[in-house]
Amino acid sequence: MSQTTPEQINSSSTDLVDKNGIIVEDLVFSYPNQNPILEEISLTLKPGEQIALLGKTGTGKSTLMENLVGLKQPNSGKILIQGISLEPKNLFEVRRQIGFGFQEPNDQLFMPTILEDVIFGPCNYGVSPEEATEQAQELLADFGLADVTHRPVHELSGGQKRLAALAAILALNPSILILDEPTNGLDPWWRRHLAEILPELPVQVLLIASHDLNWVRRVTQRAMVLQQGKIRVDMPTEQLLQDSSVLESCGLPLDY
Amino acid sequence: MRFALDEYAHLKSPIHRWNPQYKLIGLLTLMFAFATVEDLRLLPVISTLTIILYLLSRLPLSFLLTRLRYPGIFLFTVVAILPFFSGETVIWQWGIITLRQEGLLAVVLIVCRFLAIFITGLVLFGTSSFLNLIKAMRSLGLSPILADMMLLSYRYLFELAYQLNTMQRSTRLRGFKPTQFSWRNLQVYAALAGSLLVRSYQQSQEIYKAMQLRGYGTSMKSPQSKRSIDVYSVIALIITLAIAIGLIGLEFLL
Repeated sequence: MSQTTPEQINSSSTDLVDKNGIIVEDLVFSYPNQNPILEEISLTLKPGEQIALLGKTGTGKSTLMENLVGLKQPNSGKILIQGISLEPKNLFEVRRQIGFGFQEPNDQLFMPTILEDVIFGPCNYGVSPEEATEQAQELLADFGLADVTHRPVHELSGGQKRLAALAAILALNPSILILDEPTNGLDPWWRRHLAEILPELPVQVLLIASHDLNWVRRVTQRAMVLQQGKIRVDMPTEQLLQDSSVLESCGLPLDY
Repeated sequence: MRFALDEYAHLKSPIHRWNPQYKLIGLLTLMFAFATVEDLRLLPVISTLTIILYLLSRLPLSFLLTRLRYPGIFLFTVVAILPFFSGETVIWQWGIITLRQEGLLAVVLIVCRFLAIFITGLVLFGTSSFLNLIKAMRSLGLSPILADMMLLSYRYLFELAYQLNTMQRSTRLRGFKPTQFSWRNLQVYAALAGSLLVRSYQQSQEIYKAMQLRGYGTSMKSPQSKRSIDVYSVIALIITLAIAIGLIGLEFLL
């Protein structure tokens, strides 16, 4: 069994000429007066990669992703997004590079209609409402949501909300897309539809946290497993899912 | 559960055509003018104006009647006793029940003013989408934070109602009888309300994160939309303001 160890990843990151993508070095995160949730996490996500972030519930997947988008500040360590160090003073600029999809799309669709939601981000970044509306309508049409652009969000189905939330994120043309449990609450048809769409998106890096092992097998080529605050395993997705001893040692189900 | 705030916002009428900004200024001014009316001789005037406004809006009568129900009940409870206790001139008496002229006239004044203001408000909110009205208010100087709060409240009202509905169904499926009045039932209602409060607080934190991730709070100024002058809306505003000022002037003179 061959696995890339965190140490190997760490040493290779410093040799990278191309600093695009995400580079994390020795990230430590804990809540005040609590044990660390993330311990010396180091990883590199290169342009062109589609990566699954796996692990049991409560291992810190969402926490790691929230650190990557600056929603949480690490205790120590470094995060580079497209070569720019993620710091509180430059969050506004860096966040334009990253699209983050929440577990619950209702938390992400906060305007009365989905068209308003999709133009929300671009308008905050200086795009005129007319231009943002035109781009939003094209994007929603690409996702098959042209007929519901003016519908209230609460009238959409779960799958439509998921796609609308994705459109709202992509409206800013991010180069990195991070999705937290994107198949939650979706029926098989929508899961398949999402699996077809995601690889075609114009993003350089796609990072997905998911419990749906069958689904990530279709969408990602690389998988990392988070366990007890560290990246325990980092290997090709297919190889991981075929190795029952690794799955077992990581606490992942064998009968997925 | 369906909320119908924008149910008739898509209709085509002279009032629907009116630009929301101008409509807001015009109709709010008219509502204030109605509120200043004290002279009974002006009541037919404001009633006629209200009826014309409602007819122009092409809103169905059912829209008015359904929305009038609870405010009407509230109004009734407030004014019902006035004719029997307010004033000196007795116009009818039966035993201890005395109908007084001043009280009756006060009821007529209050009811007419209430209906005029309420119906004008319905026309204002029924002929534009809630979103467009908030945008109009914002462009007229409403604090951006207040505007955002109103938009978010509107958006998540449906979510809260859905969650409450789901929780209520869950209690009924486990044998809870909501119609019984008991100390235990009160505790259950308190628990439902508390759960909803906590959930909505947690959700609000997630929503704020989502807004921050898309640049909220540190936004760049987006180029102003080019606005052409809508002559129709300006004329409608001038007419409405003239009527409102005329009413106030008449009230002052009479």
